Amino acid sequence: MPQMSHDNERTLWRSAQAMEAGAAVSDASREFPEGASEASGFSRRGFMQIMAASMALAGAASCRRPEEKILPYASAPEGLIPGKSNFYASAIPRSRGSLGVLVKSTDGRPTKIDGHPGSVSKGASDSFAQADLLDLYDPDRLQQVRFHGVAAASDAEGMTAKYRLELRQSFLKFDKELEAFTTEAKKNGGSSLAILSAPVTSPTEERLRTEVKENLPKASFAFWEALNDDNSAEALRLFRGAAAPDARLRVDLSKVDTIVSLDADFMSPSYRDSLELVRGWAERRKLGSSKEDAGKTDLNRLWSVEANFSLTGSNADHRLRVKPSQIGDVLVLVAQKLASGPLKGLTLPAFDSKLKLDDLSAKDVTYAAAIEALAAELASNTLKGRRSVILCGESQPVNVQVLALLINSALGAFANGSLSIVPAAAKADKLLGSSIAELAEGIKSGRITQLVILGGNPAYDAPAELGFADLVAKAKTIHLTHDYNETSEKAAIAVPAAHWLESWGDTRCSDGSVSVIQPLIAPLFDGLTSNELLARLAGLGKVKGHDLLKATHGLQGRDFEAVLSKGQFSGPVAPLALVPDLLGCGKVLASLKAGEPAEFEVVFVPDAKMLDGRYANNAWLQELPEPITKIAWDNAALVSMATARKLGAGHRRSNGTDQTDVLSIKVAGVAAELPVWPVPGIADGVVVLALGYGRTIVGHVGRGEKGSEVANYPVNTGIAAAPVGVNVYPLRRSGSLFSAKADSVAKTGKVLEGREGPASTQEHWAMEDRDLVKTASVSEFQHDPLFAREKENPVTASLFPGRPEWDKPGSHQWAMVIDLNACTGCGTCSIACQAENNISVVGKAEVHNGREMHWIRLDRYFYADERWLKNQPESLSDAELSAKYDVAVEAYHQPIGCQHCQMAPCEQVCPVAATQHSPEGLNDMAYNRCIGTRYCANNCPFKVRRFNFFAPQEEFKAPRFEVKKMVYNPNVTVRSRGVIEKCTYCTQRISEAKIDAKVAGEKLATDSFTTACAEACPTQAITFGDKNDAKSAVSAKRADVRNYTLLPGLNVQPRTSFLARLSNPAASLVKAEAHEHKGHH
Amino acid sequence: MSQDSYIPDNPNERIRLVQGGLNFSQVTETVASIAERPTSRKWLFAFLMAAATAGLVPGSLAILFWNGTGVWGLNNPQAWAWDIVNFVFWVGIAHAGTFISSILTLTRQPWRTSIGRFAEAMTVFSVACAGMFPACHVGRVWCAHWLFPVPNQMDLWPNFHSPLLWDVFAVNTYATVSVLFWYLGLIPDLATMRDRAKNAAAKIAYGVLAVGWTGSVRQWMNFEKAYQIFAAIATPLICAVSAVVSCDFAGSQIPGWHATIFPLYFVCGAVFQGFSATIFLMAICRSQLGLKNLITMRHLENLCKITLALSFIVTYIYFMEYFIAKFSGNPYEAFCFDNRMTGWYAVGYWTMIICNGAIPQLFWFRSVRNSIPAMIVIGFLGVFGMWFERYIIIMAIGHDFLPSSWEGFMPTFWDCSLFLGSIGTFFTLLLLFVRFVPVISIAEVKMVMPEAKPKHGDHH
Repeated sequence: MPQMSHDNERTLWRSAQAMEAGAAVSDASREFPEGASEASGFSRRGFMQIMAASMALAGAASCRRPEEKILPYASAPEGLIPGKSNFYASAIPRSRGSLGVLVKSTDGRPTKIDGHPGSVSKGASDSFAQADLLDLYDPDRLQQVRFHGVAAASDAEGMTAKYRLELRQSFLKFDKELEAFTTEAKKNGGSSLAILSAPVTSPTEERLRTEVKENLPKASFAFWEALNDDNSAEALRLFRGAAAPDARLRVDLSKVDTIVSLDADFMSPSYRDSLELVRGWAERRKLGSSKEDAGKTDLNRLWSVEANFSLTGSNADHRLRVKPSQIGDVLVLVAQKLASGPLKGLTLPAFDSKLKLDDLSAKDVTYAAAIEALAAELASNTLKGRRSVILCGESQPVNVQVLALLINSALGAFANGSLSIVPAAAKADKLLGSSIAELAEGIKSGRITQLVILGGNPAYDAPAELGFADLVAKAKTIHLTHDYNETSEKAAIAVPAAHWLESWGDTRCSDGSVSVIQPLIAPLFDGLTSNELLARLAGLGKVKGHDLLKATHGLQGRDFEAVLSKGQFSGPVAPLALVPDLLGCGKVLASLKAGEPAEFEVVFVPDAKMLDGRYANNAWLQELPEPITKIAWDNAALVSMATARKLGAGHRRSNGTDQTDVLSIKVAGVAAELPVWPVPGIADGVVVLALGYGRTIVGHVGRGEKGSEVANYPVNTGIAAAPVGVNVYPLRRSGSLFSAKADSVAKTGKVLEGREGPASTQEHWAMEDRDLVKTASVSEFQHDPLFAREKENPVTASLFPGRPEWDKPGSHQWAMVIDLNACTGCGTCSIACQAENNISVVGKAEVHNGREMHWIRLDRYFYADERWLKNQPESLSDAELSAKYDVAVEAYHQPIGCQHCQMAPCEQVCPVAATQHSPEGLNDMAYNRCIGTRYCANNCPFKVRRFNFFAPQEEFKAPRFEVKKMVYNPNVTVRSRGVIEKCTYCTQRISEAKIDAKVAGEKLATDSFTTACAEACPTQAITFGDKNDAKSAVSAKRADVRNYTLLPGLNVQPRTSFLARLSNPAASLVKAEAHEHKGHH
Repeated sequence: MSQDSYIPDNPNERIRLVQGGLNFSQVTETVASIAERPTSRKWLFAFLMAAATAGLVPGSLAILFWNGTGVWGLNNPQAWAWDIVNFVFWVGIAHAGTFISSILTLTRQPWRTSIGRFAEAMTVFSVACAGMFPACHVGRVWCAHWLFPVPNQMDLWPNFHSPLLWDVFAVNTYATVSVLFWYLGLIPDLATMRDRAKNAAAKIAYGVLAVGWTGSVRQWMNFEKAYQIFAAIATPLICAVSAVVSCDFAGSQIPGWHATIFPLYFVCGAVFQGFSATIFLMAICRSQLGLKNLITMRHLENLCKITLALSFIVTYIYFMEYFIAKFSGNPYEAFCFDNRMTGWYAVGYWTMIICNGAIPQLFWFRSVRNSIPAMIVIGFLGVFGMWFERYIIIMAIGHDFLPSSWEGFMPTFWDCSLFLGSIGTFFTLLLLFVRFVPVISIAEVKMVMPEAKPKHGDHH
């Protein structure tokens, strides 16, 4: 796709289109010497010009000579239309299956990231992919090489010429230091050197590592990632026998009838290959739209066995809450039941589970009954040729993982293609690797004195017992890093890393295809890629990432360009045949033991927002409410209602202020103190702790400081700057990476008052018997396919005249349908919307004040059948009742943006007519007419209107924040203080599509574009389009029997409607009640 | 003065409206001397206190304008809170003055003469306080004039569907009429002050304000006519302004707001509150200013009786509102009322019921109606309770249709400071009024004295 390629150092731009432009640039550079245009420092305008100019170089972004960057276009590259966006294929490198993306570039800067339709995600993306954009423009990125933590230059004045010069000098100094470093390593053949990184997925990096190995034969490589998949990789290795080549497991859920998740929260974006899995799951949650189709409904069934209340659990048809130590027990018990059927011949060790099978796992369902039903279902699936897959989460020990693989194999999951084994190219995952523990030993013993850390933050997230921070300081460490973090602080040299949007590279996706990473912008603050650093360690000198990449793939010129437009070097690889090593597996299974539950157990969950902590300085993710708790800007100790009661701890409101008790959780002698947050449905005696918080060496967002989005306005504060959340890595040790037995959990007596406590965006949990999320089981739906249709007859008479032009044939009438049966509640839409529409982040204090700005939010309702709770035989004490509530609870998710009511109540009350209806049915907002009476917000029954109480963007006036403004979408106004804003159905996208169609002289294909939320949605739960076009996707969805709008009694006639949610419980576990819906009617 | 224009009062049947055997000149002396005697320490102290409190206003507004509406405790569902509570509260206080000088004039209640002036002053000052809130509560105050149909090059009109716009017109009309009405009534007394003034400055000041009043028969005739016309104009305005304010709520569709009873509810509530405020302040001023002979127990008792009647109406409405919400079967309405009684704001709700419904019932007892301390307390509680009424109404938006959005409201320092400041402003203006302007309409009081009744049958 890029129009230019960089052949070698001498000639400039090679492709036909670029030649002209490139030549012009070089001509101009003779005319205007370096620095001429920035003699008086950077103006905002100048900065934008430079960024625009750097786009001209984006095709050859590894070229970082400053004299090429500071010039405006002397003549614009052919085809460049100012203000018109281009899209470039690239990929986000991830150690667990990279994501192919399509990045939007506006005037030379990336402004939006979405999934590549040709990649495994099929165009969807997750919140991390969306938020990566903000990381690119993070002013807190490491901008200069820091030696022993000292920043030689200050960025207080912004990107001045002087500052640029100082940055460059730090790199020159680094060149010298690196030379000395390599020379020293060379002296002993590299035996003193170790290179630590996350598992490698890049073929170029693999090649360079072998080159390093040639240059420094004794150098060692170690791998560490806090959220690793060591257990499942090891299980797969054992399952296939030690001789089998390296490979990874690939799961295709799109045709699977029964999914069993064993603590595998695959709906959380933090899960490996989440996008692919969740899309597969959703395929089987979509159904026909007519009344007749209802009878044929065949949804998949999701069973979730878990200790925390995960996103997956909230979408499961059956959820068994089990202590972490006993999750494996459930699988063994199921396997025992299967022993007479599909698992015939498999010998399981004697197993006496301590799981209390008579207890209720859900309303009316005991564990025994659930396990019985699950086993029966799996057995009958194999007989009927239906597909079943057991997903085993990383928390499970290797022997449980092996058992899961064996059962999967016996159930035919490998045979029918639901599971496949994808070869990992030449030692990809573990290139000559050792563990971090071995590395730590090496440093301790003095054998290793030189350490290169490529990315990551091991000083923060390595297993606690290693004391890795000290070891980083002990060795002479070079840390290549995007941000200056806990590890960089201890390192001798911290080198800025180029963002993936600034660098050339390649990366392997989950299907084995190799995607191109191509830059959209020249590195903002210089910075190296790990490939470039490895090349220098390999003695190849300063080779550019671009050349390294081409050398790996042996491509030149047009061949290379062709690859760039496709986005891929090579396509998916054929799966390997499976030959299980049954003998080996037998040995592993012999070690299966019943779990020994402790009184209190701790679950460490990968955070859905911070991941392992790398996104701590990303304000979009910090402010995204956690899907279940709806807490933003914090982590907390999550416990069940019953456990909270038992601990006497809770979260309450007293005298008008929130009070949150603090728990002390002690694991292996180390205690952490976190605010308690009761969440119904978590297993009793379990404390759920999210990783990735409490970063101390982090940018101002993560530190919660002034100038950050944690706005410390001169008034109205009361929140002290403090790291966001609590670091729980000190509790996490090698043997217990995902769960641990706690020494003790107790209330400390400390109480967090008001804004000190966690900020939740949703204070009220229950739906209060209102008909908001309509749900039914499949059998109820089949019995009454029209259950979701309006039961209340709205009065349609109105004082306001109708709009006949609305239904005029040929006019566009925009509408949106959200399928609640496919929505997982992940929140990707919120972030995608934030990125698209320049939505402000307001900070923790303002979230506490209830002023979050998301245009599309995820409402999460907890629901427990009140009648069932009340009908318990004995009269229940409060404690028993909360325990029952834990048992019976379900959670529903509902995305709510502006509903674009046709009879919009907001429009009628605005005194200055700032909000009006468009002829195409949009509820428009004229920001510059709005005076901010907020009457519209009051009168909105959905409370989707957002008021700019302050002007958070004004906080970034300091020169050093200038770079942050580049994240804005230029097609969307940045709202001022004092005006109301809300979802516009991405009106800028509609306009753009209409203009394009007009220019092309074609009729607008209304399904050819969509809103940001719909585009990003991992499960395609959101459909947007023209309801006036009978053939559009949205018209089809609106005709669905499950289609309903919210609050029909108000006669506001929303344009956004919902498809009711269905659950698919096993028939044997549903009490034979009359066909009645779950009580929301 | 025409014979028809005075209102007969039979001293044999009723207690005289002016006590202590004062004659005309003594009446003048009693009232005018308040403004003429040297500044008392008591007044100075009170004034400094009030002015200091009023000083919170510029500071609070500066902070508000500089930083944004976010300095208040507002949040997403609760987009209006104390700003509008205080606005409606002050509009309510305003109602007594207009009620007394217009409706009681039209219905020829002679006892109104000695309390009318003071109550009207309260009207003017509280409308000033009221106006401050909607003007400064908008997000972009520098654009607030767009609320008026100002001609502009884009031919943009305000939205005439919006009750908020009706509100702008209603409050502005009310403020204008109240000020003119008050000033009109002041003219003869300002002339008296001019004539009595001892120093040149006062003479000029009062002289200018008295606009050449000489007390000629023609002037009196015009004055009487004008007064009657103003009374006739102001009477519907009393109903209109609060009714329109109530449409801000009734015109929406929020549970707890969307009710057809609101116009009546707001008018009666406002008049109740205005009378409570008048009782409270009058009972204090009467003794402080030595006006016992002019503002007699009978005056106060009448005020108490009207307050009692109004208390009945508002209590009836409280009950009716709840009944309709429950009886309608609308779950959102029903929830709203249950939530008022038992939820977050239950304290406010029960404060309202007790102060506005229960406590005024004490006015059934003659002894209470004749007890100054009791009147001060009950009057104050009436005002206090009415603030909570508005508070309770406006807090309903925090708990409307989608429970996911529910959120409570906590005022911040700046919410409180502006409210306190508005109270300070009110008292500052009131104290200045007491110090420099005759607090009782001298001319009108004389008209209702028996001496004003011609004994000798000759027509003037």
